[in-house]
Amino acid sequence: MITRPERKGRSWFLLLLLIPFIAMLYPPFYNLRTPEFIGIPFFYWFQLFWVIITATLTALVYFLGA
Amino acid sequence: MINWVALAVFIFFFLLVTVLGFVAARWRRGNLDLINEWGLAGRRFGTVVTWFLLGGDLYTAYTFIAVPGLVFASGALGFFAVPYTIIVYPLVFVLMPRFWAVCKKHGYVTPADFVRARFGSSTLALLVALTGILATMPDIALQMFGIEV
Repeated sequence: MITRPERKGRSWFLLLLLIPFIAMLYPPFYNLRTPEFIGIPFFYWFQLFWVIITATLTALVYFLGA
Repeated sequence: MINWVALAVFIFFFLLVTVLGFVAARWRRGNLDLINEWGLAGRRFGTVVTWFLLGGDLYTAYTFIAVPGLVFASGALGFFAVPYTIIVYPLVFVLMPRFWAVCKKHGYVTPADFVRARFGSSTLALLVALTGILATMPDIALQMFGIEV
């Protein structure tokens, strides 16, 4: 990634990458048993679901901004 | 009693990895007397090679033995590995390309090289290098233990 003059447009998208930090770094958000998904407690499937969300967000930032 | 399936799988992968190793040694050969050829493959790894390299870094004895072992022993505590991996990648995505470009431009090979040039302190660079070595020790110990299992 080479520094480009139009950094302003890119930095807006970069804020999307903060969302996983907010969701993941405060366990009381997801330290719950229900709702279950195919029998898996919320605590477990929620974290695994964020793998997909974060990958999507990162891809989005890459294709929009980089 | 020999388990023929397991033996066949072992021999197949042993031969595959050995052959790949010798082929890879000849592929895009660099001058190994240069430190950035020896340590960083001349900074010539592309996206695909780096992707496999990251996979090799992440899916190790740590992932297959240490973390499941911790989950088995302590339960949900072992799930620290999931949020940790999730938030590491956005950080890497933002910081590393810039870091890579700066290091390539100035020819830095290790993080300590970067720190010494950026902050002008050899002491800080030494501390960074020592921290890196110390922090790698538990992981090496873990991987050695993982090979036995």
